[in-house]
Amino acid sequence: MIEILSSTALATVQDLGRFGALGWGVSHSGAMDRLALTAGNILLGNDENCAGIEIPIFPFRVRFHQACDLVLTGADHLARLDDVPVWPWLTIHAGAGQILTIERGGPSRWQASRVYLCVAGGIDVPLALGSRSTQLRGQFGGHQGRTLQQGDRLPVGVAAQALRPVGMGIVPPALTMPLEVDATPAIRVLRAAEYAAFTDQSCVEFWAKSWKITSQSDRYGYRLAGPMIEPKYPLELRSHGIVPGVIQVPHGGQPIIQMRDAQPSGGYPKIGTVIDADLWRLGQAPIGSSVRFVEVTWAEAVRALQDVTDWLDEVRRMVALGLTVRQEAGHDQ
Amino acid sequence: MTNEQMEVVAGWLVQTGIAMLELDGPDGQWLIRNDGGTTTLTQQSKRPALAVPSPHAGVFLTRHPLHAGAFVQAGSAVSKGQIVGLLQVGVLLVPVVAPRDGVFVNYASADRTLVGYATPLFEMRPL
Repeated sequence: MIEILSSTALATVQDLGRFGALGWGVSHSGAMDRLALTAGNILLGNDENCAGIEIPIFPFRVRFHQACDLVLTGADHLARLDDVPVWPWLTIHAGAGQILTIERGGPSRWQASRVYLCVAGGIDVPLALGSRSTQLRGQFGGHQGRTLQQGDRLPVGVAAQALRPVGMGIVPPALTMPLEVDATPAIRVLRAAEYAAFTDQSCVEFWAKSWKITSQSDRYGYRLAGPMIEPKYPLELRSHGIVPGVIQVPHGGQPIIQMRDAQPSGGYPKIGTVIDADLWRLGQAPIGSSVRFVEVTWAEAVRALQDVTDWLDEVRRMVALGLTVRQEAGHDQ
Repeated sequence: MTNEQMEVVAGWLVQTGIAMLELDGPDGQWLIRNDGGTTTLTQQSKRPALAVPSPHAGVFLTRHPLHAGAFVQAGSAVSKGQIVGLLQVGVLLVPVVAPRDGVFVNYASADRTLVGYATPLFEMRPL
């Protein structure tokens, strides 16, 4: 059992998402940074789809009512377990009664916004439509279908492997797979159906200028600020299916990127789609920061997805190898 | 510090009623006990620093990959099991920890150097 001690905002229970229910109007939900959650689960020997806590606002404090292994992945942070420092992306063992405090970190080589608290065994909230992710709009899934509050108690599942006294970690993928253009974090984008309907000038600037993530950005979508994106002629579309990553341009000319909690349909014209392989990067981009869009072809998008798959394969392989090495070195006795 | 100087300090302890003074210098440690006007002076030479060897091959990191600062600073106290560095093998990070409670002296291998089995990684003075 984990008890939330801080008065907290916007923290939610998330697994990798709820799929196959878009047709009923149920969005994917799931971790904004899927790589962070997956890597955390691999490090702990969990099923890779185990639920963790996505934390975008700090400080965040929890008490462990039972001993368990944990890891904080995702954004850099300052954390401690009672008085012991907890380093990002390195597992640690918490004893029953210990208190974990996570605060916003100082300068980091990766400016990111969301920390994932992963525990061995996962956050064991009931499955809803096949997922433990929080569906905020529908108010189901996760913990009582809502963001976490002070005093909430979350059940922890049974750990798949024995507790280990000393940890192991992973180099964050933002360092292993960096992507920048002119020192600005970059996101790869495919042209979408209405791309040709925007003026040539708008299309040029879409790729050439940096886009600020405004304060009107959350798990539903990111509203961007940058050059005006204007259609060649007034565009009126019937609502149609959309997925996370779709970049719409409403009448104001400032794009909106659909994120994990996005509704499954919309009628604004679409200029592009963030490729699946880069949604985790965007999911971590802090409000107020800027991103650049890089145009890719379908083949490049598929290759980028393969890079992510390869990275995860490498994490699985090295964690398995690490366990062997550590046992041989006598760490686990 | 000389023994004569320590005698003076011992006198001050008696005057002020302080029961014990522990002094830690570069050459060793002095312990002065004031037992109701009778002072005893004990001098201990420092224990030799312990060079902690690498448990296996890898790239030694003195700082977390996301951070600019080292895990520990020279002269700071470390407790058994505390992370003082990492060994990176591909994407994997394996903590290098203090084997005992003590004082961290310095890193014996530089940040981001490839080290082999048993290469000294850091020195500490156990308590």
